[in-house]
Amino acid sequence: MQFQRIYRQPNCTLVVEGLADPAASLIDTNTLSIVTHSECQILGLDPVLSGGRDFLVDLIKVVGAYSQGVISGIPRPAMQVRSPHLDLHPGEGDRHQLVCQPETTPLTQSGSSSSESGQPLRWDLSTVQLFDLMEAIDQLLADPQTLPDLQFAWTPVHRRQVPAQEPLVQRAVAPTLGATLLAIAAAGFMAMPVPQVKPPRIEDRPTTTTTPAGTSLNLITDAEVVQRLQSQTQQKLAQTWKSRPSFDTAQVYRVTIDEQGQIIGYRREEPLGGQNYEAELPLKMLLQPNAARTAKQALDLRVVFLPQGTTEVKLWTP
Amino acid sequence: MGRFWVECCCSLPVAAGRPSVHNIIQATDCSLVTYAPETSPRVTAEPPPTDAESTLPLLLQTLPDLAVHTSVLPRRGRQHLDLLLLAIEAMDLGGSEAVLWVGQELGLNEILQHRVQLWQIRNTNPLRRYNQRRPLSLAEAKALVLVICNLAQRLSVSIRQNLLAVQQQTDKGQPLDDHFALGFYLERFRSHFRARMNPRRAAVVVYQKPEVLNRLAVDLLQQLLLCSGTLGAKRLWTSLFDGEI
Repeated sequence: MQFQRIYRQPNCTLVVEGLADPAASLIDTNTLSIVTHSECQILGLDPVLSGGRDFLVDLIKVVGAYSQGVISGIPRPAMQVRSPHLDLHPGEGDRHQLVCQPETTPLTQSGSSSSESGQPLRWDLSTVQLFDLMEAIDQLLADPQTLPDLQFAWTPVHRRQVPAQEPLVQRAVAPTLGATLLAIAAAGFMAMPVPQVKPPRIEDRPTTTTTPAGTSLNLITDAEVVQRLQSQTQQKLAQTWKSRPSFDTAQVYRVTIDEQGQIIGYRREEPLGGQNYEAELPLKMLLQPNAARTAKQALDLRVVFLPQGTTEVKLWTP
Repeated sequence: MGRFWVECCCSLPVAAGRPSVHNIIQATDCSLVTYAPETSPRVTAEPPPTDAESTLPLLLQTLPDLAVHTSVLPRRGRQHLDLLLLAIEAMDLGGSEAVLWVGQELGLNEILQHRVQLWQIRNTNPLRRYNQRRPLSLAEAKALVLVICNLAQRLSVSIRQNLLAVQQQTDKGQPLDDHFALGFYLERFRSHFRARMNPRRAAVVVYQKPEVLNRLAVDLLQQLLLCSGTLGAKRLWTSLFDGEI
């Protein structure tokens, strides 16, 4: 059974002729599923565009996509508004130019162009004419009894497909300026002398220390020995100091020990003045004044007696 | 001004695939605009259900969810919707009342409850003087889209006349403001725009010259015409997400 659907608008008439699908015709006899011929006539413009299903699908795709671009103000990518035979793009002023490339084979559209085959046909459509064409197509899409499987792709333009609003020259100014400044700064740093790397000097620390007896002894510099003596002193003080401290501020002493780890002298450094809590501390007990005479090298330690009953032993720094 | 009955070719946005209907409405205000007469034969269908609660989700569901990664309308979309409403107000003296009235007719009362809420929704446009720092939800945006397309259908005759006038004036090389009806629309649009938009915004400074503002007004007219069709709401809704996904 043959059907003809006419979608008439003030400036445009869309005609679709076709047949029902034989497979579905037993259930639904009124649906046009196979297109045999389609025509699109725009009032005042010659000739009439006509073709088969492919022409109709191209027309729907091109006009629909272009209209979306007009509504949003963002032009669609060229591949969406162009097909092998149809092209729609903005014209002069507020016009929209529709270009149709007729087929060159003898099986061309019936009653179509009067111009020579192969020459593209151009129409300048006004917005009202474009709307009428779009509305005829939309009525076809909305008609459930005509080509129900034909759908328009309702997908927005992807972010990357949107052309940049600023011209390329303007956009390139910032990165170019940054690269230039980087080059200038690099050149400036290249002109600076390379800093000399010097090994660390231990001579900053005093090399001698004075015992309470007044004699001057060399300081122990071997890091391993210093570490060992430090921990040895810490252990000794922890074992010896068992009484509960009665002071509430840390007592700092400068303690001099010899290479065997024996205390040969000490002096209170902090707090200056105030009560002397030396009697509570084990320093006097551990003091070996005889060792001061036989000692060849000495080490100064900073011993802190804390009110909690613990001690801290570090290397003495002036 | 008196009451008068007008016959309006009103295509309510129904489920996809169902063509438009023919309705009679009662206009409470006599404006300078004549509503669209029957211009083309449309396929008739049964009238839409009148229960507001059942139409609300149905109407909003006719517009597909395109932005799955966000639940608010992008910035450019908020701006576009407000400008389209501005163009409608410039064309129709009772436009601002008509927005609420159409919202009520379409059963969108829950979203467009009253004038203040509509003002807050419209002021999500970042160019506005009193820009509301609140997002525009997709439901609110859909409601605005449906109202805009409905109003565009009702004003399609005016829009066509104005666009025809633009074409005539351009062909003759005469200024657009010389045409009576078109000049009225352009002048109202310019005054609304300048009164409501924040002049310190860079995007508003671009529109300082009247010619540039006229260009914007004509572009909006074209967009309104393209939104007044059978699938106008879907087209406008999809266009709001161009370049945002």
